Amino acid sequence: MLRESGSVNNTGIVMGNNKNLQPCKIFYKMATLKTVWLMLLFLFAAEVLTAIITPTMSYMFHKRINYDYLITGFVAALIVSLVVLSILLSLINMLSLERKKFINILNAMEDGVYIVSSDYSIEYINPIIEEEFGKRDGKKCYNYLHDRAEPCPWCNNQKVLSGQQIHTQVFCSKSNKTYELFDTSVITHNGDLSKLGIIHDITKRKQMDEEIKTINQKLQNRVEEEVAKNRTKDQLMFEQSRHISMGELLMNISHHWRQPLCSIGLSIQDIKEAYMYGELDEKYLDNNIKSAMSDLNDLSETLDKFRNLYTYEKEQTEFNASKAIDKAEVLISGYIKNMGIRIEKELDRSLIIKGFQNEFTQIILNILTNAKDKFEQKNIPDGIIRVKLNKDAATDRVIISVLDNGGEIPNDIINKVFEPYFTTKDTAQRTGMGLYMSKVIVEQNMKGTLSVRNSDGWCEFRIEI
Amino acid sequence: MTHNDELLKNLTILYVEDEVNIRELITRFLKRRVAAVYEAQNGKEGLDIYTSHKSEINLVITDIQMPVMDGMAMIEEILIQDAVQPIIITTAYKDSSHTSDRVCRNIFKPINLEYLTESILFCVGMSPENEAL
Repeated sequence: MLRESGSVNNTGIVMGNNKNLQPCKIFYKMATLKTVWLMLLFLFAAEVLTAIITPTMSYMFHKRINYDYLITGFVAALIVSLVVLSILLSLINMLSLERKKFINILNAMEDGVYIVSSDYSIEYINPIIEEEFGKRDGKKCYNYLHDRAEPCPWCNNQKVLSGQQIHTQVFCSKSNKTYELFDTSVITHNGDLSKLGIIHDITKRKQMDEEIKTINQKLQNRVEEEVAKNRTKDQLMFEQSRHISMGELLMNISHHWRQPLCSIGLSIQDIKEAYMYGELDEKYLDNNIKSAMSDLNDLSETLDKFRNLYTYEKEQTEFNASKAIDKAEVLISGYIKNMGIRIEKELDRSLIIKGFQNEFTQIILNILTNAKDKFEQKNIPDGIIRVKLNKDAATDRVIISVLDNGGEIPNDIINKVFEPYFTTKDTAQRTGMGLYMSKVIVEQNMKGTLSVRNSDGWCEFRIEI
Repeated sequence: MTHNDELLKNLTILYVEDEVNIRELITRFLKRRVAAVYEAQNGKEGLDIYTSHKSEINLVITDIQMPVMDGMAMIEEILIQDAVQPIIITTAYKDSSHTSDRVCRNIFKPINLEYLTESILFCVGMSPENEAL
């Protein structure tokens, strides 16, 4: 029955959920010292009774008092009472030893322990509590622990004594500390129900928690700051890349424009020449005008082509990939024609892909420009750019492969070509954003991949969509 | 006929330019004034003509950005053969890779024909061989 009522220790104090408390109470009452005296008295009385009953019985049966019986009875009763007494004494001794042991444990604990009765009297405090709150001097718990004149409004005595175990945190203004509190009911040595409280000082832990919280908050702020910074940086990078593409646009246009401009200039000057040398007639004039007009049309067409490339596309469309590649080739032709670079195309003209067509054309233009720059930088006169477009039957993806014979990319930089601001070129000419932006667009807008590899002296840029 | 026209009349010029329109117009301009014009479409052709006709050629006029062999490479080769050969560059680009201080003049496109004439005279005038003329 004891075990059912909770965890038992040998001190006679039962802690825990004391629902089955009532039947045990008598037992515990019996274990008190008062009871021991009562029992001794009872035994003594029994002995005297035996001493009287035994000769009386012998007289009744034998019609005389047998003194042998009397003495035997006395001796027997004495022995019995001595044995009982010694057993009781050893039990009391054991009990007090166990109590001592228990109190020692409580005293040695680093946590504060107190036992408070139902009328708020303090039955026990361990040295930790005493150290913290001073002598108890018969104070009630609310006065001793909280400096209050009446029971604390938050007092949980009722609940605890009805069998609940309570875990809670309390702040004590008297000690200015925060404690973790565990309250449970105990049966004290006199059999009454009292409240056993164990308090653990968590002020430091609390402080640490606060500090950690502060640190976390700071970290959080820091992360947010960095994220904001990065966003600004991305924004800047985006703006910069816009400037760059504007710059590239101008460069490309100027390459297309320079020769026709020169040619128009010469045609006009040539009219005066012909006049001076007496060669000018209507036919001569017509010829020169026709030639100049044709050049002017070229200039205008170039502008249209580039303007179309940089118009804003609202949404993704399905378009013919080979046509976009052709467009990129036309746009860069102003550059590469002069340099003797040849573009060889093997295009599957039926392939349709989805995305922003202009963006895609710009990516191809970026890759072609990259190859062109390499030829220029390395002074390679017979550059070949091979553009292949096909569908990979195994993966069902469209592959665009741009190979150039401008030499392999050194192993130490091949992993860096897609990093922003990376360039091997004259920094006045290039900013190192072209391939980076291309990769971002392929991966984010087209859900594809853009990779680079060397093969047999050629360098291949490969788009898979 | 001015002294200048007289001077031009005896010149033989090698003109190297890959752009057809420009090559035709400049060649027409030169042929009106000088004794002979050799035309070439790229540095390689130009160098070949120069190597076989260098005794006649008084002046080389060349573009820079051209296929097969560019103007700079050709100029290097020509100066190896004749370190004082007068050369004029005609280019659309004003940067260091399209101009040279080893040539007599760098002319930028679009070409002003009056300035070209003046430059030709300046360059052949500088040549010790022609001073003797």
